[in-house]
Amino acid sequence: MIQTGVSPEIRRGDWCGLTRLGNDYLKPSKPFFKESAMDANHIIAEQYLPVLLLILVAVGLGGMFTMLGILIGPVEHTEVKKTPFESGMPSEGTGFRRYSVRFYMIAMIFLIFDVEVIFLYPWAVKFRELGWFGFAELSVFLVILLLGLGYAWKKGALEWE
Amino acid sequence: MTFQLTQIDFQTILPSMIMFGMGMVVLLLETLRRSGSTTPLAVVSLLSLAAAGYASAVQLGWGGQGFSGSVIADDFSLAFNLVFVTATALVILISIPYLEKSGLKYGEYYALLLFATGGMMVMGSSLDLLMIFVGLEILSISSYILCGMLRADVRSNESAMKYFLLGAFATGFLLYGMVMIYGATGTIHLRKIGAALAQPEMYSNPYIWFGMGLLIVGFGFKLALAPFHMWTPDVYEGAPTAVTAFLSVGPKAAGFAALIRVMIEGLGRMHNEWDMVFWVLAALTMTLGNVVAIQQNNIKRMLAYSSIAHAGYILAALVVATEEGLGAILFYSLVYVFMNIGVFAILILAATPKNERLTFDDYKGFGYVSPLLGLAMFVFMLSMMGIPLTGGFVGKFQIFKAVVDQGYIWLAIVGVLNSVVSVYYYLRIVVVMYMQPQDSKSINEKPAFSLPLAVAITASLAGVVFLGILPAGWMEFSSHSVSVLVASF
Repeated sequence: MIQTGVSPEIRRGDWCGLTRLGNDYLKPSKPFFKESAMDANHIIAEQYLPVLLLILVAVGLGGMFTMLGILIGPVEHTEVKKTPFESGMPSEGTGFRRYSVRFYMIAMIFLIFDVEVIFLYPWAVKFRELGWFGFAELSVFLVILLLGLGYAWKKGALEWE
Repeated sequence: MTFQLTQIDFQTILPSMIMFGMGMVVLLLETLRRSGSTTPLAVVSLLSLAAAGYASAVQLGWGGQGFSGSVIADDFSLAFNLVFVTATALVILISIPYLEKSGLKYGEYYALLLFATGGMMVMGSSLDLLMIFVGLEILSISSYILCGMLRADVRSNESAMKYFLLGAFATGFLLYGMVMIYGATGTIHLRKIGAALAQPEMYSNPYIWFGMGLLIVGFGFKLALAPFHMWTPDVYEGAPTAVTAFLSVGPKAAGFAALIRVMIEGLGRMHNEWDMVFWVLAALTMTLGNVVAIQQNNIKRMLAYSSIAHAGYILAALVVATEEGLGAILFYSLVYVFMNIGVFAILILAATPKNERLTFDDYKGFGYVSPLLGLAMFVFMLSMMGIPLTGGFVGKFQIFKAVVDQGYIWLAIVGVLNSVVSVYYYLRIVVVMYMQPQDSKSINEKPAFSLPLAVAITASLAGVVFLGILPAGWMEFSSHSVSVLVASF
């Protein structure tokens, strides 16, 4: 079972010891409840408490600053401020243009090699433990990817013009 | 921590490995192909299908498990492998002339078919929700691309896009279902899920119910069962005809293989809870498929609704979940492969580059223009209706017998009534072929001979007639194959 700092039943036990046995509180006393499956679930849920707190703090802080800005800050609308970007080039045309299919091909090839690297890192970390087995598995993986690269190359996916 | 993979691990996935490996070889050969036809690639694909079929046949009766029990090569998966191999081989045969007629010069087509077949094999042989998902994704992604193969055709693009969006949506349902079942039982291994359901307190856990419901919805989308069938006609109509033939047989059989695994080995103990769900889905699916098929004027659309109806019949056999019923599913899957691909082969043979010949009117007087093809079409339609001496009859008979034996009388009545309804639209093409005079729009000359199509039509015809007259062999084999399933009830 996963250990947390202080499990709820130990806390309850100590508290009981204090009230019932006076000075003898260091002696472990009998807990109120036997640990059950429900407790295990609570302990797992407890581990997520920091995450929940973090979310609450993040949302709270962000919301608070936005609200403060709206409430306290002076509001002044000018033509420049209404444009989507205050600095840089003024935008031209619509956002719904057709892009060259080459962008997608480059993106796809990039994605493949990005994923490849994701697999390579853990293998590099555990290289000695995995031994020849890991080497063979990764070789198969890399050969398949190389075949993919060869295919893309031959099909002209890497040529811009 | 060490990982050990033994030879047995790889033997269990040998047929699908052949498919994936040869698919990559075909891709490489495609890059080396300078010009000319893609037929050599089709030959390579056919040979690799033969190799995978041989590998499956050799392993029959083995039952080895690999990859920590997530893959199994038992007779159930191997028998389905044989069905998949037959389906894809026939589809490749009808694709050779189709690709030539429609000017599709992509060797990737065959590679994708091989990948899809490998995915189907993974689906059938997995004992693990995650492996089912992986196999399903391999199959689906290949199918999406195959649907959009006619790049210049708007309908083909529409088909691919619709299939992709709705398929991705359905995959979401499936995945949520798997997650919930994992959350409730703590395992993704189907047999362990079955064991976990032995505890009575499991039934008060809402997640198992949500999970089961979502799984059924997900599979319902993939198998085009009635309330989730909306994508089917558009996708089937827009996809290249050979791909439609593939979609209506291969992925359906694979979906049923996976559904049987999940429902029998995983959630078998809940049979009393899910049988009514499938009862309603089956009745709805066959009724809707048959009633809407009556109104279609496009044969491809008619066949799309007919495939929905057939999925309904097959689902009726899953409701009973006996060895007899599940064997009937396997039996019917093979029969359906033969009769459906046979019809599509005739459609492809009759098509010309200018006119795809897909409406009923195109076939006016076709029975006199080409008597042999007319006869073949007639036999396939008889089989679809379920007339004796064809495989379709034996399959339907087995299904309804299993359904009646377990006391689902009303489901059998709905099914038989639906078969009667289906006679109308299946016979309609026969009536058009033989009893209506030719006009300027219909096919006036005999279609040119094509060896692959002749082989495909002959093989399908032989399959349909053989399974109709001497069904005992495949029947016994299919009920033996499902007997290796570890039902958890």
